[in-house]
Order: sequence, then structure tokens, then C-alpha cells
Amino acid sequence: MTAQVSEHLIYGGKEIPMFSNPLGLYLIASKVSFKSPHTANWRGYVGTWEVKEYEGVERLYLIGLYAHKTYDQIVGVRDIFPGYDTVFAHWFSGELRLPQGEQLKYRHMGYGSIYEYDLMMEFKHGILINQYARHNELPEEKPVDQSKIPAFLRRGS
Amino acid sequence: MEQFFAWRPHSWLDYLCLYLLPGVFLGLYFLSKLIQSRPGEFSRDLIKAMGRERTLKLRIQDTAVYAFALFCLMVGWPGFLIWLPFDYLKEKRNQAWQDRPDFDCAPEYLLERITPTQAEALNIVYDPLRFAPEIAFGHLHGPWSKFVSSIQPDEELWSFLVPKGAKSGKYQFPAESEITGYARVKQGAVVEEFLY
Repeated sequence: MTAQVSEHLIYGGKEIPMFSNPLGLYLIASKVSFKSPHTANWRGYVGTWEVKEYEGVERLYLIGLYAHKTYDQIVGVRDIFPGYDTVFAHWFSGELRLPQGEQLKYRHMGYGSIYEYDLMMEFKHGILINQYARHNELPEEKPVDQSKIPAFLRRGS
Repeated sequence: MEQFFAWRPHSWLDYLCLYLLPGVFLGLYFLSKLIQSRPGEFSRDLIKAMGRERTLKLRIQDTAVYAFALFCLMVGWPGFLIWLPFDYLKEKRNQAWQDRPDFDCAPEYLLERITPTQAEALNIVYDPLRFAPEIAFGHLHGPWSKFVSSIQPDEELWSFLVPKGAKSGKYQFPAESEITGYARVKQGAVVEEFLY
């Protein structure tokens, strides 16, 4: 599986890549699906989100959407949520993972790449209730025993 | 035809041929299954385009393997006949598992029986910036209404909570965060779920 294109989150005026898909639950419940335009975007859309603060409460909003209804036909927020340009993501409860810092390891799979740390934001029905940073380390990997790899798979053979 | 039915084995060779015959039929059965599962034209073209076509050596190897397998079948067909129903049952069980709906909510995560009106009262969405309709389940009001209207007279509506880390779904993955929602329950079994 190819590494997947991230969502975007605007927080504190900064745009940050986001390795979570808060729109997923809404799409399942409303039985909406998109077409994948390429292998780096199996879900078929990229959303732009923003955490907006009002009277001390921070909420998650979907402010942009670039979704493939078909390979050529692109739809946006208004097509999925008629009458709304911005949508309060009240259906979302769970954690958002926002990778930060240097990329320590690239993984050619989903959101598998490891960064220096992840900013984790926990939401309950679209309201931010907690956030913390999670420091990551490179996982220990056993050295590869070259003799166990078949000759035709060895680099340079 | 009469001659065919009148025939009786006399020599040891006749008896050997009779013994081997079911094995030949079994071999033909497996061969037909193999032909059915061969890659389609598109896959073959793709393999060809990738330059991964089968070499003559590989084809000869395959033929030898198939010939050996056929020999084993002809000789040891009673063993295969015993194995066949077990394999069939295993395949059926696998298929039944694949066909099972993939619900996050298992019966042990059900919390309490609730009425649709109570659930709606608990889930009125409020957004001071007015980016969600101020109704039960907000943007998900439509899917919720469909979910509630599908509840049958012999079913119940229950709320549920899957704790963070608990195994959920068909594949029993640990839940990355708490999962809540409502479930249609019939005789203790989850029929449909509405995650919220």
C-alpha cells in the first residue's frame, strides 16, 4: 500500500498535515463514497479542517473538501453538505494525529511514516477536550541477514 | 452398452485400473477448478507487459508437478475423499465469516435500552457559529432518521460504548479511541449500528 496523502488542519493560524480522517465516520453513516484518483489517495478526497475557538471552547470544522465523485468530477463541501461552506464536525469523537518535526522514517504504507513527535488532539463530538505531544523514537529493527534473502531479490544482483 | 455392463475384472491389471479410475476423475475435478481460477486475459497481458512471462523451463516444471500430483491422486484417492468434505466445510465456514457484518459494537458493549426520543434529546447539536443544524444528530439527522425507521417491532434500541483499546469489529482490532453510538438489537444480537 502506498503512503496516503494527508488531510490539512489549520490551528493557531498555521496549516499542519493531519494523519487522521475525521470525515470517515460521517461518510459511513450517510453512505457517501468517493472514487480513488490514484494509489496515494484511496479514500478519494482531501479535507481541510480548522479548529475555531468561540468563548473558550475550541471546535473542529471542515472548511474545504476536494473529493472525487468520479475520476474527473470534483465535489466540495457544499455538494456534500448542501447550504454549508463550513461544517461543524460534531460527529467526530476521537484523536487527531498531527505529525511534527523531522521525518524519522518513511513507511510506504497509509499514515505509517514516523516523525519526531505527534501532536495529539482529542475531541468529543467535535469539541476539543485534550491535547498532548507524543515523542516518537525509531523502532528497533533487526539487521537483515543478507544470506537469507534469495539471490534474485538482492540489491545489485 | 450391454457389453460394457457385462464386463467383469479378471486380471490384477483390471482391478488396478478400476482402483485408479476414481483418482482420475478426482484429478479432472481439481484440474477444472484450477482452470477456472487461472488469471484472466487482463492479468495475463499485465504479466506479459511486466516481462514476467513464464519461461519454458517453468512450464515444464509445472507439467511435471501436475503429473506427479495426478499420480498421487490416482494412488491415494481414498485419502483425498476423506479430506475433501473437511476442506468444503472449512471453506463454507470462511465464507460465512466473510459475509458477517463488520460491526464495532459487540453485545458486551451494550449499555442500556433507550427510546429514539430519549436518544434524540441527548444529542441535540449546538454550534454557536451556526455551522450545523440545531437538531438531533445535526448533519447526521437524515441517516439517524433512516436508522430509527428501520427498527422492527421485535427489535430494541440500545446505546453502546466500546472502551478505548477494547477489541472491536470483525477483525478484533483494538479501538483507537472510545466508540459510542446506538444499536438495533434483536434477541441480544446487534442487527445494525449507528456510530455517534
